[in-house]
Amino acid sequence: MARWGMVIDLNRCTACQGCVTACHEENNVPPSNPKLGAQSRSIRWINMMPVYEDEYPHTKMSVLPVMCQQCEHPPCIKVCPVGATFFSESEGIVGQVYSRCIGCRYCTNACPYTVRQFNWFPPDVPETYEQGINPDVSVRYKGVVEKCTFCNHRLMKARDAAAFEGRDLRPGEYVPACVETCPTDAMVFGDLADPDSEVSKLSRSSRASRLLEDLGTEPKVYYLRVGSGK
Amino acid sequence: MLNRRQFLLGLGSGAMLVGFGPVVGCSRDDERIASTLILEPTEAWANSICQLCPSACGLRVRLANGHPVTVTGNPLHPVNRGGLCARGAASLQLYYDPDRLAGPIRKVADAVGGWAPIGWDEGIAEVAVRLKRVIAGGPGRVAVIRGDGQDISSQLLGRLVRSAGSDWIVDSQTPADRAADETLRAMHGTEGRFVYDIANADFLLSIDSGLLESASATMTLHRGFADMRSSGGSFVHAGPRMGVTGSKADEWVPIRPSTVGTLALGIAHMLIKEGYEQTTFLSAKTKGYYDWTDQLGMHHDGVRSWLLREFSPRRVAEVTGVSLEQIIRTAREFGAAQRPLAIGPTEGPASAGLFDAMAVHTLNAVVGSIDVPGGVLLAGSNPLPILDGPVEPPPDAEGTVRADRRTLVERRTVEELATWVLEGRGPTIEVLFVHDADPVFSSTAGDKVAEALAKIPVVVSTSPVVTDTLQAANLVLPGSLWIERHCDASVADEHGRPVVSVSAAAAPRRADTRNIADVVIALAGQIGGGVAERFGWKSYDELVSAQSNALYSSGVGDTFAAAERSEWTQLLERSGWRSPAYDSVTRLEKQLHSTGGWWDSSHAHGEWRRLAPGGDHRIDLAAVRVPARPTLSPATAGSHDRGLLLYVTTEQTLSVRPGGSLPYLQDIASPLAEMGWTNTAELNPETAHHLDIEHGGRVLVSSEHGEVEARAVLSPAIRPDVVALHTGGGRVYGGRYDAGVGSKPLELLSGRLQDSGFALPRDPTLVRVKQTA
Repeated sequence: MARWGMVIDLNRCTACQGCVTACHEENNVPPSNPKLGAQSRSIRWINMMPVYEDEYPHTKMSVLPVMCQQCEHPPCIKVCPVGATFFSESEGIVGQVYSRCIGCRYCTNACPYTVRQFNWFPPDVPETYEQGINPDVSVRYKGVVEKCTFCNHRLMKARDAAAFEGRDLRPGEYVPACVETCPTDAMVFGDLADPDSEVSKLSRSSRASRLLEDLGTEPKVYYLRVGSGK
Repeated sequence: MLNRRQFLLGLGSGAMLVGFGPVVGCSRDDERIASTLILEPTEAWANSICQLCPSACGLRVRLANGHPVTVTGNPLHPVNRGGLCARGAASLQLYYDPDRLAGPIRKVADAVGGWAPIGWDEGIAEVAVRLKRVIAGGPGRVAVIRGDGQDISSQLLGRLVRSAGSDWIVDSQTPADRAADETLRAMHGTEGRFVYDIANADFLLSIDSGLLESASATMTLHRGFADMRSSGGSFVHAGPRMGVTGSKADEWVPIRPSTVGTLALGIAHMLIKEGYEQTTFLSAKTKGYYDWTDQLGMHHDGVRSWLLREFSPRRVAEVTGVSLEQIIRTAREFGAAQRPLAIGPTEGPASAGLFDAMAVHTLNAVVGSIDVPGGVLLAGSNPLPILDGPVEPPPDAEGTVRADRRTLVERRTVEELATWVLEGRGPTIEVLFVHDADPVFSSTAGDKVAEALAKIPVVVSTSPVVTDTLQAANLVLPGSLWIERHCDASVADEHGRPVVSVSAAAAPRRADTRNIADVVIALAGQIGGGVAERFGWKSYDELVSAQSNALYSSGVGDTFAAAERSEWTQLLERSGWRSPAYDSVTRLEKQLHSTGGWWDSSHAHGEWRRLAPGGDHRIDLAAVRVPARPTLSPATAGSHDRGLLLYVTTEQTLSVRPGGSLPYLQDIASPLAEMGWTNTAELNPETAHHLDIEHGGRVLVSSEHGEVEARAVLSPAIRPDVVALHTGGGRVYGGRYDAGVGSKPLELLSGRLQDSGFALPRDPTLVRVKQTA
């Protein structure tokens, strides 16, 4: 059983947001507009979150790219009345079945990381954009919740390719779009269950921490804080 | 249109027949979108070059059924090594922009919207006839305002202007880029571009650099920065606002706006006092630093004495607002480092000036951080002929035209051109090309530029999208996007190694556009005479082949390769060995297209004669005293009752050339504000409390020159006497995703055409901020 996870090294992350737009393009996230922006109803699968400590002039700030934390014990699943959000025991990925979602938004409220996005309106997509839709990813409509899936479709493609060649999946064959695009290699992705994988080693770094760890959700996204140390 | 229930029913019966993709289901009840998913796509990949900023990263475009669907970085490209920033990753939204121009248009007074379509042949003929007449009327009547001149199209436009006997070639540089260029010319006596070997520095001092927010050279700076931090390098950022750059620093030093140069020289003063100056370097490689006596026995102060006299920490603390203790500590840490590097403003329309750039360069010189690993380097030049040089030497034996890249050429600015036109100086500019630039929007004197453009009889824009400058044109000949055409770019990577990117068209053209290089060649042919003679190529493709010949015969460099192989090639080449991946021009051309381009990986530090090619190969540090203030005065003090100091920043997400409508980027405009589609005014909570302003509230920011609206963002990471606004919004014309979105803080500045603020550090603008709703 794999446990796909990610480590984000904040020493290397420059908050360029390349991961954000790469994710949105890969996953057919509909473009926003000034009206949605003003209502804070734009859909973002990854959000840059500034975190401040102390007061001026001793202010410290971190800027974290926050996506679905792919919890091992996801609170969103427990509250879904229709089984639209599910946990893959074999991969450790929290998925979303859009066709089952009834739009109750219990999951968006239950998620402590506020990364679940609700489609309040039909996507306002110009006709010219349609040829640019990624055929690997379903598009969503008004009334359903969506979120980062660790580019689950890429995993399936990579698995199919490996199965076709009669072999196991090799390290690095499956990475989400954000990790592939990160210009500074700040994001490392892989199988946390493999103790020799780079991501697993980095997750044991003295700089590593997870968001809201005390909630017991056991996220599979780790952040390496700014500073020295391995 | 189906409703949701009908769609789901249809899905149940039909979608089972096809590979409907992932486990995650589809609930979109939109027939036309669903139809694109049901067919199994034919997948293909093609190389291209992102040209949304000067980095010119290599792209890999994924096509499904012949249409581009995603882009990622070209892993072989030395500039980005497979990565992309937010702009590159969103670039397909420009390709699919619903508001792109459909083809060439001409301004017609009685047409609907004021514009009417025109055929390409007619448009080119019209410009050619006009140009022929103008050239016959005398020299100096044709001009071009262009992006940065890194691609063949821009250079050919420059060549056309030169052929018409004019030197009005205006690169629309930011003041920071211009200041860096002028520093290189004044201190080193050469043309070129500084690069900062950040990756190899062990102490980086950013003085209002905007390193990670900068719109220019994004990829090179970011990659170098990440490598430096991973290697354990220390980082101190001084700036009025912490920003993303400061959030990554070990220490943030809040300074008043417009005090960059003063702080740099204050630290230099302390380095001298504490014995950290690199005397061997300063004696051998610089001039003007130490006191000297002339032949008549007159004593002259060197820069060293001037620094010791004028920039005491106490006075510098008074001007910059930084504590004495902080200045001394920063100087000690900087001086004690093995490979210290200071970097000044890389962007910033209001604060960057020549004095700042020269002062930071002087600071680097004091610690000997020039032309060494982890220091300031000079970007290498590629062996391609210069197509828009002022004086063209005769072709060599192989028929290749070469020019000395170190020759200083006269630089003109957009503001100078506007002044020339508005003051009616002669000769009158009668034809102006605007390529890859939007000066009416980006200049600090945009209104004056628009006024000047209105006085020029023929203004030809090549923009594929609607911009503020396009509205001032008479004729638009829209260029194809890079993804739609055979394209090129000449840049340097983060270590200054020259890179030439080449790519074929990756996707079909979506509008009736053309490669501007081909348009210029056609124009030259129709003008005939001496102009046509200088354009000996039949097409852009033929010119690129000639360029390949020049690369092949240069005997240096290699086509792109994986990072490991490139390191090996570099080692071999620096030892005098060479084994390129090609053995003929044909093979080189093939390799160029399959890998994405060519680069000279042997170039690095230790090339002093190239960096300081003047007579005695020394840097003239005395130049720093020329643009400096005669005396130090405390910077204007801001406060919530007197007015706040305006600090104008950039957000790279909104710095897309030549403009354009990228909604993904508008939505994530600022990584710190969590608000898109608007301008934000960043304020310290203490200041906001005094002014009764709430987080997210609408505020009006006003100066004596204008006023703009913004949303308040309260942050403890900004000085209490400062309000920060970012550029990128406030386009009057454009598509549905950018026209009228946000506001333009440049309107709060004085917008002086002479731009005296460039040379002298001007006092920051005082503004009033009040909540409106």
